[in-house]
Amino acid sequence: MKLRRVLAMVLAAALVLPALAGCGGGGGKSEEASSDGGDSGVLDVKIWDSTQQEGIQTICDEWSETSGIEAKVEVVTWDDYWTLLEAGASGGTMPDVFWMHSNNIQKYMDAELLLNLNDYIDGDENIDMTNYYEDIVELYTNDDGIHYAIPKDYDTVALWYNKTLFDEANLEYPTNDWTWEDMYEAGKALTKEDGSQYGMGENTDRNQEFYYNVIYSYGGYVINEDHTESGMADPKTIEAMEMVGKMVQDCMPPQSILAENGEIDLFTSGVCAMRLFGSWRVAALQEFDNASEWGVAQIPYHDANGNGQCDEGERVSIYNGLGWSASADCSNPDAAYSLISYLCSEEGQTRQAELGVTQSAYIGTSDAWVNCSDMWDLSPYLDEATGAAELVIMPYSRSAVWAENMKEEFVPAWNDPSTMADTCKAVAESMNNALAQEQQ
Amino acid sequence: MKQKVKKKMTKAQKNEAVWGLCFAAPAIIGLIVLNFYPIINTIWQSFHKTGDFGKGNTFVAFANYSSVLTSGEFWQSLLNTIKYAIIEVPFSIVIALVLAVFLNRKMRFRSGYRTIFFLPMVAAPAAVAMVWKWLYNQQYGLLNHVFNTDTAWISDPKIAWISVAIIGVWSIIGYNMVLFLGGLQEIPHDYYEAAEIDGATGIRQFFKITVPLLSPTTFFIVQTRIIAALQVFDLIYMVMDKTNVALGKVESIVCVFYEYAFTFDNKGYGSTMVVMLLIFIMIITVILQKMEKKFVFYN
Repeated sequence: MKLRRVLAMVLAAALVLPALAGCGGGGGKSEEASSDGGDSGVLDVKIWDSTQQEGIQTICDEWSETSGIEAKVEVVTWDDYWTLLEAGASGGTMPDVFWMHSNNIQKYMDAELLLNLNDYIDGDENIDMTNYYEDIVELYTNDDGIHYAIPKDYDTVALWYNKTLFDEANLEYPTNDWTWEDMYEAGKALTKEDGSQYGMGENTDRNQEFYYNVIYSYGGYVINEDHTESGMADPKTIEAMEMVGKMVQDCMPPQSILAENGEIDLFTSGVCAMRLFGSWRVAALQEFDNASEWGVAQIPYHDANGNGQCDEGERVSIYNGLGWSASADCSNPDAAYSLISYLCSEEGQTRQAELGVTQSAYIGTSDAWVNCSDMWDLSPYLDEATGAAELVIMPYSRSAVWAENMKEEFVPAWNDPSTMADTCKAVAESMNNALAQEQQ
Repeated sequence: MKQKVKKKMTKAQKNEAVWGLCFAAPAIIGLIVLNFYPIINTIWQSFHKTGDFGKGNTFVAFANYSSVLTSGEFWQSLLNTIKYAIIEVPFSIVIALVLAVFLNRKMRFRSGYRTIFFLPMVAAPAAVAMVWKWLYNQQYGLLNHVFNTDTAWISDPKIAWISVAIIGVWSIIGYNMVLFLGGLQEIPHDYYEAAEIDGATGIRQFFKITVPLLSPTTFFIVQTRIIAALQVFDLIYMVMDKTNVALGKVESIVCVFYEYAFTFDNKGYGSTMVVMLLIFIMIITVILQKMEKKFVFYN
C-alpha cells in the first residue's frame, strides 16, 4: 500500500515537473538555454547580418585561441533582433555580446542594461576611443560620458551601376563628378517604355542609402541638431525630395514593383541599372554570378552654387556605425569585454577589413577592405570617408518611431510624385508629433 | 441550479479530489502561466503608458482607449479583419464540406486525395505565404504568366484583400475537411438508404440529411474559424511588404498591434488594441452561442 502511494507520487511528480519546466520556457525566456551556455563558458554573441556571420565568427575564433573561451555567433534578422533583445532585457536573459544600433541605443543606455565599459577601457592599452570616428563614439556614450559600446564599423554610401546596361544604351559610365541631375538624365535614358528595364530603383524604406543623402546634399536636414524637430518641411529638404520625386517618376519602376520584388533584387538581376548601396552590403553582393558586370562610383553631389564642380558640403554621404555592447548582467563580464576589446582593437578591426566583412571603425584600418574584392574598385567608399564627401551621421532621436513611419508615409508620394511637397509637410507634422511624445 | 446542501467530504472523496487536482495541475498551471497571466497583464498594460523594458509604467486610465477608438487606423484595420473573415470563413467551410462529402464515398486513391487536401495544413504558414507571394508577383508571378494578365494581385488596394483571403481559404480547407469527415462518419447510413428507396436524388439527400445532421460539426467549425480569422497575422505579415501601397487596406488588427507593440515599442497602446479585439470576439461568440439553439440540430 505504501509502496503504491510512493510510486504514485513519483509518477505524478514526473508528470508535473516537465510541464513546469516547459511553462518556464514558454514564458518568454526561450533564450534561457543559450544564456545558460554562458555559465558553461560559451559566450553568446548576437548579430543581425548573416553576410557578416562567417567573418565575425572567424575573428571570434581567433580570440578563443588566446582566451580559451568559446564564442558562438548567431544571426537574428533585424526585425526579430530587437524583439528578442527587448524580451531578453525585460526577462534578464540578454545575449552576452551583441551589436548596438543608433536607433535603439538611447533606450538601452537609459535603462542601464548595457555593461559600463569605462573602467575596462581605462585599463586596456588596446582601446583608445580617439581612434574611432567621433560621431560614432558619441552615439554610444551617454550624457555622463559613460561608454556603452565600442564602435565596430562605419558605413558610407556609393553609386553602383550595371556596365552591361550602360554599354547597351551607349552611355558613359557614372563618374565621381556626377551630380544628382546627371544621375537623373542617365536614369531616364536607361528606362525603357515597355517596363523591361529601368534607370534606377529605390523604395521608400531606403532612407540611409537614398533620400537622406539627397536631402543633406541639397542643404536640407531630416532632424535638427537637438533631435527635437523635423526638418522635412524645410524648403531645401522639399527641393531635394522634389528631385527624388523626378527620379521616381521618370527613372524607376512603379512603387508596387519595388515593394513586391525588392530594389536590391531588381538591381542584381539587371532590371534596374543603378542603385545606391551602403558599404555594409558589399559582402552580400560578392555572391552574385554577374557581380563583375557592376561598377562603383562616388555618390552624386548637388551643385548648389552652380560652378560646375563639387565644393565642400555639396557631396554628402550619410554614415552610421554599429557598436559592440555587452549585457550588464552578463555572467562573465571580463570575458565579454575581452572579446569586445579584441574585436575593436587595431588587430581585430584590421582583420574585419581584410576578411571583407565591412569597413572598420578604427580609423585607418579600412584600407584592406578596399582590396577584399578584385571585381570592383571599392575606393569610392573609402574616399568619401577621407575627405571626398561630407559625412553626416544617420539622423536619429531617442526612438525610431518617426523613421519607421516615414517609410510608410512616403508610399503615396512614390505612387504619385506630384504630391511630394505636400507629403513632405505631412511627414514633418507627424514626425514632430512623434518627437513631442518622445520628450514627454 | 442552487445546491445548498453542504456535505462533508468523506476521506476517500477528499483523497480523490486531491489526486484529481494533482493530475489536472499541469494543465491548470499551464493555462494560468501561459494564458490567464498574459491576459490579465495585457489588460493591466492597456491602462498604462508603458515604459521601456517593462519599467516605469504610469497609470493613464482610459487615455489609450480614447486614442485607439478615435484613430482611423484602428477602425480601418478592424474593417480589414472583418472583410478577411467574411471571405475566409464561408468559402473555406463550403469548399471543405463539398470535398468531405466526395471523399467520404468509396473511391480509388481516397486516402491519397485526403492527404493532398490536408497538406497545406502541415506546411509552415510562413513558407506558404512566401510561395503565394511568388505566385502573385505582378511581373514574374506564375498567375499572371498563366492567365496572361498584368494584375497587381497584392498591390492593388481593390483586390489585395481578396488575394490574401484566398491564401487563407486554401490553407485551412484541409483542416475543415478532416473535421467534416469526422462528422460525416457519425451519420448513420440507414438514412441515406431510406432516402434512396424513397427516390431522393443525391443533391436532395445532401441538403435534407447531410447538412442538418452535420450542423453540430459545422457550428463548431464556424465558431473556431471566425475566432481564428479575426486573429489573422502571419499570413498578412509575410505577404504584405511594409511599403506595399495596399497595406492600409489589408493589414489586420493583430498586424497593427504588432507594429505598435513591437516595432514602436508602445506596449500600452498595443495592449489596448488587442483588448478591443478581445471584446469584439467575445461579442461575436455570444451572438453565435445564441444562434446555436436556433440552427444546430442535435440528435
